[in-house]
Amino acid sequence: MAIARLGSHEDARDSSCSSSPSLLEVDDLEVSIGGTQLLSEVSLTMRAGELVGLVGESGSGKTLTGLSLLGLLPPTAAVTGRIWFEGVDLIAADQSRLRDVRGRAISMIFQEPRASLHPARPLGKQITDVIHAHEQVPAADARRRAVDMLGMVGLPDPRRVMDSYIHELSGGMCQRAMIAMALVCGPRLLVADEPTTALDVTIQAQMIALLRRLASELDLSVLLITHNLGVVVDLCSRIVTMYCGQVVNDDSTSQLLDEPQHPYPSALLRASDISFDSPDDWSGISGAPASPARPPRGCRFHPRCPHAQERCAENAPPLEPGRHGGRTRCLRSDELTLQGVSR
Amino acid sequence: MTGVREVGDTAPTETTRDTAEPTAARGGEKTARGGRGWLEKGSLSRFVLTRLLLFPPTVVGAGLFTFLLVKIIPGGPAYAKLGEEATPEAIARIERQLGLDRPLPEQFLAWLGGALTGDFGESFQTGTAVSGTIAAALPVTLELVVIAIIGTVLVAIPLGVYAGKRAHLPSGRWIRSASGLGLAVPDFFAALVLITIFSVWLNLLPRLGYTPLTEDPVANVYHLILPALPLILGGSAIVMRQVGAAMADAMSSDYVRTARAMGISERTVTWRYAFRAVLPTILNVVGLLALGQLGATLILEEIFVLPGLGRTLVNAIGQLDYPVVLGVVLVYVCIALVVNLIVDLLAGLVNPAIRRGTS
Repeated sequence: MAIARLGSHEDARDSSCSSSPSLLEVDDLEVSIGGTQLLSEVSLTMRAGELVGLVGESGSGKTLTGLSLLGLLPPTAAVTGRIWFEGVDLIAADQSRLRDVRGRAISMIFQEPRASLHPARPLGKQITDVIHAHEQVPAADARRRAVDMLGMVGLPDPRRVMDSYIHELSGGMCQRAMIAMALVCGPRLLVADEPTTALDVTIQAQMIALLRRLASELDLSVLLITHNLGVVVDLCSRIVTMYCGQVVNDDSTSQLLDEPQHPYPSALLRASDISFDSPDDWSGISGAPASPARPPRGCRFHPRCPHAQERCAENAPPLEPGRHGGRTRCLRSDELTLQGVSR
Repeated sequence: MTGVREVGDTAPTETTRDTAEPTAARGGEKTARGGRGWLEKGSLSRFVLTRLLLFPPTVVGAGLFTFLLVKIIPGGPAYAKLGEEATPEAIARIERQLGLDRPLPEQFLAWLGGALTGDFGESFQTGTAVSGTIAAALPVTLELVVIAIIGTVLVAIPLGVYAGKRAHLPSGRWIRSASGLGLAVPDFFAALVLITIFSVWLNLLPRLGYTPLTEDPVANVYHLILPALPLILGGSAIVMRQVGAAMADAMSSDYVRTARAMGISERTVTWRYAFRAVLPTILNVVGLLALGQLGATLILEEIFVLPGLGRTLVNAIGQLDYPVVLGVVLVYVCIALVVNLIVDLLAGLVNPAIRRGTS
């Protein structure tokens, strides 16, 4: 057991100490909307071609983080910090610069593919709209590229899909069309916000396989936002965990599964690990998620943490390099040995 | 099965997983281009035909209702013609002349028989054919309403879109408040204020009078601007409010967020995405408004002394001139039916699910 853990520990260090330059660097991002602080001290980095999962319970700020990357926050939002993408600070960028980044450098897809596509505009038009937004090309060229892209995301008969409306397609086909729309101008990063949540379980697996294939064929980085740990473990080499508007843990997938360094992802993992042999053995997370609007004193997770001590209620832990690589936000990370889910 | 089949992705890791969707996709699949045939259930043509078949019973029902309504009004056309001092003999003579001594069902059927062939009888007061009176008055009213609707659309839609896009900003709220004021001011009061400003103070627009379109188109429109203004003001308030609220909704919708996330320009997002989604709402509001403004012409034609349907109707009611009242009301009913049909037809045409019959 000890040897196995040592091995995975070295894997983790290999992947996190790679020399390739970072594509995205989020530094101390803080977002408040209408005076309510919803994100604080969010930082994460992604390298080109990397597949990273962003997990956490509802309301932990995952989607807000994703929307921040594209500058898609509501007009009442106040943002501080830095979002470096290929050397440009997106927080300082003006609207026309951001519009240029969206779709061409960073794209985002959403859950509920039916609601997220226009009901009365043919799908092909919605895809060529993206091309025309970024490039001066003749309509026929744009159409040809859209058809190619629809084929690439695995839609049969792309020409017919071009002239279809969303009500004529299945949910999975709509999600594929939205992915085509997102990737048609060759972005480097795709933010996928719960892309599988609204789909059948059988189609979920296909979507993950599709994202994996597209990432390798197009040299695309994917930030997968989800609360479904199974999906994220399937696709991502690294998992960033958020709780109450903060990043609390950032680890390689193998390290997280073997031995989480933070009690929250550890609890999340065990909550989603239901064994059919002993269903009564299931352990949820006690208490309700803390609200980022009124965060608890000290460590934000301490009221629900089974390992909390008195000092956890007093001192807020910083996000620090973990004992086994990665980064973690826990005062006791050095002394705790947490249980992962054995594979 | 010629419908769509999801083809498995090619990467080796996917092949084992990718077998499930073909079945799932087939289940929820519909042929995109198939649509429904001519007059098939759910098709647009069948919908129109059903509505057209309902026209005759609606017109007859409305005619009967109006017929009974005018009969309830105390007094009678003979009194209206001869005055209160008339002798019973004179009244009886006139009533016999007009056919009012016959039983009610007989009177109604006689009128209906004529009306269905385009003969609405003669005016009790002037003895001229009602159809001729209507033919002369109808263009005036239609013109007034058409000018009012065009003006309303030109004013209210840009303002509504602007307000909807800025719903959370002071400028958007100001427009909303102004439209609230527009809703609260009655047409006739706005008319009096506008006459005072444009006709009395500024001497820009004529206070009264009407020139037929065929005589002098410029003078014709010139005379109708002032009467149409109150309708445009009141109508714009209503349309702007609806368009603004619908636009605000559409601009915060998921599909607009998607379009923005792909970098599509704000102008395309506003007009091709949000506005396109609001179009059915606009059609419905404008259709309802057209009918409301048709009703409002009753008062405005009176104020501006326009020889239109509304003034004809008001005069005829005062004189209990049954044939004219019935004829004009019947024309109103027909206009309402046609306007509703057009609105529903356009709403169907802008909805791809209805247009293609693939809903």
